Amino acid sequence: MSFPTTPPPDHPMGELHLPLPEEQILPNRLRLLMIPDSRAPRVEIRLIIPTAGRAFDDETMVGLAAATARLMTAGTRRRTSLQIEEEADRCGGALAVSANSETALLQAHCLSDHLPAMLDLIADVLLNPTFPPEEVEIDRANTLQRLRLQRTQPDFLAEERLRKALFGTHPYHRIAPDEDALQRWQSEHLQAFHAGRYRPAGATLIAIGDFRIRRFRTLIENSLGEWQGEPPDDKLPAPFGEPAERGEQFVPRDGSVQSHLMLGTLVPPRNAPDSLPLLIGVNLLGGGASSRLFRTVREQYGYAYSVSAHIDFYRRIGAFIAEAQTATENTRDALRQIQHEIEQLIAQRIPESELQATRNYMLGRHMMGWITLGGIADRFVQAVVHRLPLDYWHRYPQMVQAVSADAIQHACARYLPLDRMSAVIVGEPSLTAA
Amino acid sequence: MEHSRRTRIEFREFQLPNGLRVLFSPHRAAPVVAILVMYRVGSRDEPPGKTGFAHLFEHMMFQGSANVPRGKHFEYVESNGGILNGFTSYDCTAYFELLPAAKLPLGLWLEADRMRSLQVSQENLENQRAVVKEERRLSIDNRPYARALERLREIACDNFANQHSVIGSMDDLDRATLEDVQQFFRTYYAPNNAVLVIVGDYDLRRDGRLVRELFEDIPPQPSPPSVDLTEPERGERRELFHDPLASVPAIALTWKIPPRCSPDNDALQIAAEILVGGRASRLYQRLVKQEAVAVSVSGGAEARPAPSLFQLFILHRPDVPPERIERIVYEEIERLASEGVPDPELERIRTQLIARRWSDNLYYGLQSPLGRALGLAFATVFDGDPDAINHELERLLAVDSPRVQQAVQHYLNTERNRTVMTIVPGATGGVV
Repeated sequence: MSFPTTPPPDHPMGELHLPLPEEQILPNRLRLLMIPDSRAPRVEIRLIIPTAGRAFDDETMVGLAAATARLMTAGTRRRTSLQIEEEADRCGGALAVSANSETALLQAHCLSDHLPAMLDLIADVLLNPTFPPEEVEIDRANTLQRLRLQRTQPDFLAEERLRKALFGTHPYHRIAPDEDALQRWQSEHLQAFHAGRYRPAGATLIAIGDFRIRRFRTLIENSLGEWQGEPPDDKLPAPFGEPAERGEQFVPRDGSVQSHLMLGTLVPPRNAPDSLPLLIGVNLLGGGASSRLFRTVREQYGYAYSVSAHIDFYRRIGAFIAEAQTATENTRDALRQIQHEIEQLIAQRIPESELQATRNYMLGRHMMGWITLGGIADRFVQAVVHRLPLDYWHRYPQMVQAVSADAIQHACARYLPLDRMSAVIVGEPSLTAA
Repeated sequence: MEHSRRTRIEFREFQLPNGLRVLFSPHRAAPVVAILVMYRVGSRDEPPGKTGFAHLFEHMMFQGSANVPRGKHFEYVESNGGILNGFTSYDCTAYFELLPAAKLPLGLWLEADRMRSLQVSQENLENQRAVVKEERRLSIDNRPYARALERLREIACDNFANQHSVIGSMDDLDRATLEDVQQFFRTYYAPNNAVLVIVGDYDLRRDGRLVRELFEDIPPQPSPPSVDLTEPERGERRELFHDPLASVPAIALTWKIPPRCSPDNDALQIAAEILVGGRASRLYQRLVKQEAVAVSVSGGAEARPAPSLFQLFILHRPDVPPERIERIVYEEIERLASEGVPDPELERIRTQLIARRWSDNLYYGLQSPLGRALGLAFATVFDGDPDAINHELERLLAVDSPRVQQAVQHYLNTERNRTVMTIVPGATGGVV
């Protein structure tokens, strides 16, 4: 038989049979989403604290939310930081708390045999952290060094500048601690932030893995039942609808042999009606190796190794970002090419074949997100953080298929015109702004 | 913990007459399939003057073949819901797709077409040369510490095959010709120099037949030349590196150690867990917590099918002299060599090793068909036996304290084969 010169006949992608979480609310108003799944002898846990993220820092203490989250595992009334790490290891797991823009997120996993011990550890970290002064000092010194290190990295500098251009003084612009505040906070500040913001009401715990629902609920009641408190205020200033600064911002970086380019603007949040059409448009523009940016900026012109576009979602707004890293001498040409592709996306009708290819790309990524337990847990984290219905991912394939080229173009034309964009270039100092 | 410990990766293996080894491994946890082709060629096969070529070639494999025009490879995979990539290491080059199960025939057709008929032009070569140079700038030249670590390997190893980086030098990338690409393809990209692994939701009869139809008439080639990878013994080597992009001082140390799957490499994998495996590890606790002199500690024991390196990289506080960090590292190595590791500490590490097999990573571990495919391919290409994947954990769990002590004493508690690099921020030295 001779080798076929055309690809094999097409088969439909097939369908996923997705689980729906079992939802229960504890008397302390902690919401549980549980998904028994015995494909691996492991349990993944995510706890979303909706109003303990970086945006809730006081203006005079920027960085405190992140430090509080980071140092929850630095010591409790029952355990030292080393004992916490050792216990997590003994569970065949890991445990960390981090602060995102609005939420704080506790992430943990363990071998399923060790689930009771891991839940005990989680409860200890959540309810009894002591923020030992000596640990606060170590964290202070090392955070300062890490901050210095970040300030040498082009991606950090670009993101920091772009967020400032997009959000101005709104707390969403924060990605790093204020150095002055970092020198000032003490254990008491962390304790107060924790006591005021880590509350069960409004929080959601997601668990997926090898367990039974009834037993899991009992374990949670025993470990987290005594957690009490009313929800803290969740008031944030309304984000601005338009970028604070448009046009081009230049960040000089000595010794750069490559420029980091970022183009961005503000778009609706994940649960807005326009969000899905815009997301499809952004994926068509820069979502993978067959996207327009990849095909032109990389494969046609060789300007960059990595070039892409995506949307960062916050609870009440989104940030469209296109980025690439390119040789200093190609900076202008690469930026123009990215801008050109954005203009084309708005100006020209999207061919149906390219649109279907993009839909399939997104549905494939969706499918691959359900392979591992952690992948599934993270889907539901997104649903909770962005206030999507729990069956959102079940309906996602039909919704993606239903979005028309017109709807995409309309959304792109509304949100992605170049005169709504901020551009950031981090690069060699002689490359000054245009 | 029996379930987590015992799980075996089942597989069926056959070899086509042209020498292609084919592995099918069932995994029905999701309606997806992973296809992975691993070729026995890596940066170690590059002669002087051609560094970076194996990786540049990997890029060319996405540039078109007889029936797949340029750019279409990405499009076929992504528009059918798949994800794809490739990577080049010192010892192998691999290409993979993770696809909805119904798309397996497409993935096999794509891999077969480029194995039999890669087509490249001067224009494509120039384009990918430019792309790879940007990759080098992104991952090495524009990034703090990366140039230092590239240099560290150059002085840590004595054999050219092990010394140079996978990404290669800009000058050598400039020298690569279209003829080099064609020659490299003929020499290394032959079915008898490759293994094809399929993991997931497939039908063995139907898809086994398809593999034969698509791959069996690709002609074999003479075996590629073998490369001498041996590393001579030597004394300590030290270097000071000024990194204009860095802002925090660092110290990096390496020692030469034996290849993967050897009893001593296994013991040194455990030693690495004890010393730098996470925040409960000895060096983290001592340097970051107890003495508060370091910002971060990382490292590990390579497991190449060749002489490997035990590596440590420590960012330290600017007011602490690197000599102090170095002394503490040696004290902890000495302590491990002389006192060994207590049972509870070893048990904790064993539990972590068992748990790590079930990692959530799409590229590693038992949850993902791609993780399984990569594990099977490494076992086949590096260890000569796909079933080695099922013995790796047992081997590591069998390491006891005396073996750790012995290996640490012999390979780490010594100046022999040691390389120490102190990295100073700024172009001309002086701590910022």
